Amino acid sequence: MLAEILEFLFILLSLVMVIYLLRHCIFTVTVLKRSKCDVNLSKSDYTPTVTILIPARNEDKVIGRLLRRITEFTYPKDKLQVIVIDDGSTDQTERIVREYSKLYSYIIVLKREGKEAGKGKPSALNAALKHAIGEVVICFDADYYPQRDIVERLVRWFKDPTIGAVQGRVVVLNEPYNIVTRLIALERIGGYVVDQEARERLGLITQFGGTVGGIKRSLLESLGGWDETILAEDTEITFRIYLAGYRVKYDISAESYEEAVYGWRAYWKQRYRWARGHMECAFKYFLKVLKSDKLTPAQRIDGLLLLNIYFMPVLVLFSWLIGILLCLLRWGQWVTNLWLIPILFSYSSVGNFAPFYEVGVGAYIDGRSRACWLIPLLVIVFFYNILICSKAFLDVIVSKLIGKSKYVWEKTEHNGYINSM
Amino acid sequence: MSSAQVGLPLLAIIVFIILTFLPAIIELKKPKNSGPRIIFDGDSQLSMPLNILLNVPSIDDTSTNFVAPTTSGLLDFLPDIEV
Repeated sequence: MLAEILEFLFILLSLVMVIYLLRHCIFTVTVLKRSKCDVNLSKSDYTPTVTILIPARNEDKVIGRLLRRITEFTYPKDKLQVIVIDDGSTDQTERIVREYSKLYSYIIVLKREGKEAGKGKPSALNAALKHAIGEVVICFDADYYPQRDIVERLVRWFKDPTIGAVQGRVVVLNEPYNIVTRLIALERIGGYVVDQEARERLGLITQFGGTVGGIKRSLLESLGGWDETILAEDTEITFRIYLAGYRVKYDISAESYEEAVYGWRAYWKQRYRWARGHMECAFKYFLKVLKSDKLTPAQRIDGLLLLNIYFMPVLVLFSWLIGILLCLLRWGQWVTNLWLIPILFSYSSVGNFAPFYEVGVGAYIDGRSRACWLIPLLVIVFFYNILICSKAFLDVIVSKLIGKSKYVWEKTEHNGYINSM
Repeated sequence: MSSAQVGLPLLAIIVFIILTFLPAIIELKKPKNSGPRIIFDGDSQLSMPLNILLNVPSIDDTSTNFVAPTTSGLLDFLPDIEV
């Protein structure tokens, strides 16, 4: 009886993975069909007022670089407001920002101290939102370095009243630094060149990434700002935007550099936060997405798959454990059918995140064929993510059972390595 | 099962793993990857990102007076502003 149940579960889990596999196949083929994108920016008479929000906590190694870049932006400065939220920094962040603030009237410092400080990015963003005057609110993390005309590229889409948010592309700046940054760069290529672009072309759920993206301020305020109780505030706001009847536009030509984390420990911290936040969103929005009359059937399916993406590594782990148990329980039968195991194992392995071929196609479209040589090493990231997501899953379940979350927001460290290269 | 029946698939698996990871190991040892990608900066004449980035004066976080060079570096970009 136990063996039958395990067999049923094993087949069910493999089917779920096949669904994700097909999803990524569709995404890849969609992007391959038309791999060229229009990077030229046509002149637009639509220039709304814009507020740029930059949450910063101990970012003195990178914040100056971003602020200097903002002063080089081509967008009319009389329509620009920049709010840097100094979230209880103990380093030189405040001094650097104040130096810029003295020289550029459109740069404002919002200092958060005491109990208010260090509550996390969504809390900092909400505090700044009260002071924002722009029609569009654009967010950047302190370690980002965008192209000069990124504001024009992002805001031009807001002419369309159905668009609630616009997301740009992230490129890893410190890619050559070490194996971690190189693998993250590959992940980002898969995510932004194939995943996001395909969702945009297919009219599915394009994700607002929380940075290098803008939201209509009126919409954001009507939605009550960012949710401070969820770690993945970007995914959370994405679903609220769609459920309110708006959509997120992805513009692959709006690009910004980011500084990827430098080590496996920092990678764990960052991905744990993403995984846990994403899982919390899945619990919050699963039924709402399923029942929503604002979404098309395709968007509903994609929304559900997107919400559950961080459960996949956990399911992979389950399927492996079940597979091992089945081998032990039915040794006599399984030993004659050993050829089945690699096939099912392969399904398990590719049903996770942006699969390897997706990254390969993304790198090819980007003209980075040599980067493809590192793709097999993504298997390290894959195994690591299984551990991260399993820990996040256990913690989410425990916090649901005891009714409170113990997580304290841990910011990602940036060391500005590229400054001193 | 004979030793050939077990040995051959095992050898095939080992060869497959080596062939799969060999390019990655070569790329790690002698990187020829041209990353990071240069982002499009609107006007081809302005497409500078990395060379300017790489010339940004380093900020030594142990230094107590690093704000001064940062500010003076900033002023280089502002020829029209009187301070």
